Amino acid sequence: MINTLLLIIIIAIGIIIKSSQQIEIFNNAAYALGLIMLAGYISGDLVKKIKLPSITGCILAGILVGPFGLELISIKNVDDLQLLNGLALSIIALTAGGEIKLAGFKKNLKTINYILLFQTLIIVVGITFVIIIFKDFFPFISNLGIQSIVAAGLLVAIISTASSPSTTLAVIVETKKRDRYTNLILSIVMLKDVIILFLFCIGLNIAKILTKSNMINKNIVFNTFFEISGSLISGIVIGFIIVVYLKFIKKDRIVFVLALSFFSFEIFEPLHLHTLLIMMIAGFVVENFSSEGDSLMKTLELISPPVYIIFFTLTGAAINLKYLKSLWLLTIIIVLFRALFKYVGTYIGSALAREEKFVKKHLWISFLSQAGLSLGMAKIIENNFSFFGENLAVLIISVIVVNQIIGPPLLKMFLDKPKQPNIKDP
Amino acid sequence: MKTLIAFGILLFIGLVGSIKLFNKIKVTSCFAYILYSGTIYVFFGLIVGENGFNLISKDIIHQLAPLINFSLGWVGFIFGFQFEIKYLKRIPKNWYLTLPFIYLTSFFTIVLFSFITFNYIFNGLVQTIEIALGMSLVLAILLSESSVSFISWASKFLKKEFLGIRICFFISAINNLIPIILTGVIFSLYRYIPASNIISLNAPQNILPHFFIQLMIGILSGFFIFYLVKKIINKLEISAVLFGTIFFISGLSSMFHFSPLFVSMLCGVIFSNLTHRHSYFIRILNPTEKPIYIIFLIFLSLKKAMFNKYIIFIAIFLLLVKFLSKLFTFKSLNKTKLSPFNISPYFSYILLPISSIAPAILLDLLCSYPQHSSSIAQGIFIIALIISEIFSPLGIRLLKIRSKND
Repeated sequence: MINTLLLIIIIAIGIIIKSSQQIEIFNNAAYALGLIMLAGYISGDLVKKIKLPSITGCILAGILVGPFGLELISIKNVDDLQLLNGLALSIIALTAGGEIKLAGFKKNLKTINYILLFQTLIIVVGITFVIIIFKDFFPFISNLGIQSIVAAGLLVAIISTASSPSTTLAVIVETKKRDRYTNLILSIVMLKDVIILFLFCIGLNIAKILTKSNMINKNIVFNTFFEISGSLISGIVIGFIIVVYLKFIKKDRIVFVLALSFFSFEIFEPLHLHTLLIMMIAGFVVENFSSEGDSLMKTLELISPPVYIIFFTLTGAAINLKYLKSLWLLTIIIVLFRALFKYVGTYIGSALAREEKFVKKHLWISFLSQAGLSLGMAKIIENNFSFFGENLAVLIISVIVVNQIIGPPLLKMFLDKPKQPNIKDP
Repeated sequence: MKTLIAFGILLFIGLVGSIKLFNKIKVTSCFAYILYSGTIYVFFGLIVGENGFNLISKDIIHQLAPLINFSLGWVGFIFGFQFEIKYLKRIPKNWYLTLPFIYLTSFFTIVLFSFITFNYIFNGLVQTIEIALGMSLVLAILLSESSVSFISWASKFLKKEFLGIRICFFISAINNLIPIILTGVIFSLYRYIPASNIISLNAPQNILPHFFIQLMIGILSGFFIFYLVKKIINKLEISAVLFGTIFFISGLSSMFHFSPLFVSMLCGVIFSNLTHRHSYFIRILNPTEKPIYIIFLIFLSLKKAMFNKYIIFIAIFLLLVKFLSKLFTFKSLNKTKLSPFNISPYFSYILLPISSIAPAILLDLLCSYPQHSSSIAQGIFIIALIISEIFSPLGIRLLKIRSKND
């Protein structure tokens, strides 16, 4: 009750400030950050009472107070806070890498491979066909030739394969569950990110050929290979630096992790390396190839609550619901078919890996959330395909919006489900 | 760059000279306290900032503005949180008049002398009488303050002066509280117009309402935090809520030209007296104090400050005024027996360093009044801070000698 009242007070203050219409005054990043943290925290706490993960509350709070909701914070505020968003993403990725245990990874390797293979294959083929079949529902491609429709379908399909490692990790951390399933989920989600980076580059070139675009970049696959291998090497180096610091210096670990995450984002992003991947690898290296894993995870735990609140509320603040409003029917079609193909892909993959019935039936709901990487790809599509790129990007973003809202509660539902481990199908 | 070199040479000569002098009179190294207090970071800021090699761009400084805002709020909150009425009641009632009196005598003496300095002696430094008055008030707020951490450090060397040190702790606590309140007053008295880059006096009818709103925001936010963290047990969640609220209050304050330091201090005082988990929160808050203090010192020296011979002269002159005003206040209080306690006037030596809340106050003012006259106050403060800390071990030695003779 008191929390609801406090949330109303904050929003009321925000509305009063906004109505003062002094743009100079309104653009204050400290105020925006405070508003985001408080609204995010209180909403997170409120949704917990109805058994939803707190990040859902943060995302909803972000949508509410953000520049596309009540406009209590401006687009400039969101842009100003990107520095902090990058820092948060680095910390989340570092935690995610640290959560994967090599022993568990090796044990689950067969399941991981099969699920990855079939999820990717079925979603890519399935969604492409869905778009071809339902082409008349998509006004911006219905008049184009079949080749362009296939191109658009392929791009949407590849992006639909992705899941969000940050969201997945945040829900896992909140539920405090650490078992074979969480290890399996995190491994699949993270490896999928790497695979999708490659797939997207290939898909982008195929789409360009199909649409007869003259901007085909022959080096794109090579560049992607360079970016990924560069990220892997950088991740190992960062991991090594962390190990050395934690082992020999030990002092001010929080400051060190914060500074390292901040500078990693600032250094690697301009080099077109993938900070997310780098920090994941670094976390994985520290956890599995040194004795400092526990020390790192304890340090990360200390800074995680404000980081999650800021990151997910800002994610919410960047969501533009207008997109969803304009393409709601198409969005529902894609969201439903994506979920269906995730189920089929996970079922076949786990069946071939002789997984237990529980995994076959329910694991797919852990992979529905979608965020960062997919948004970046949507932007690339918008910039590369002049005749359908903009509309397709809008469609992809609205699909991401829905998946990001429904994904976390479903993942929490899976993690909360009573399980009977080690009972595998014959 | 030239100013930095001149400043460096001057400092080097001062340091070399003081090492010789200090060795002669058997005092611990002049570097001892400056290293202990963290003031050494001022040099780091001077070297990499606009006064030195300009290695940090204005864009980065601009992007880090929210962090400064937050840090000011956070320090104000921590400071206010220490004012728990339960503990304040332990101070004898008749001390309540004497302690502020000791601060205010220094304050008004510095106001007087610095006003004379700016208005009559170096009247080319500031443009108007209003600014000269404002500058005098700001310098008096900054220089009348006494460093709690120095008294704590000095107590190691003055074990026999237990009672005097204890009184000095109380004096310096008050010497930190009143400056924050006065900072709130300055924000209500003076406004800054960014379009014309002018600092001017607020209209008289706006001063009281402005101060009242600052007061109310601080008080209400104290209640806000109390109700928000009332049921939270998890330490990490508490820190997230505290961070969020302080960001919010500080941002709100800077938007409406309130002092984040003052507003958050009030918030801290209210919260401190409402919560029953005082020691629990102290454990969360205290470890953050030192890193934030270091951030202040670096930022203080990153921004362009004015350094020239006049500034150095004014800094030394005002430090002397502070010392003498404290000395005469103690002497007269002892003589007239108006004070409830008897303290050796030579304790004025250890009340000289100004490194507690003053850097935060100055940064608060620099952020809200980014004008030429602020850089003058900044230059004077940085020099006074360094000089007072370099010579602080000498003060301990002199106090020992004088107390022995007495």
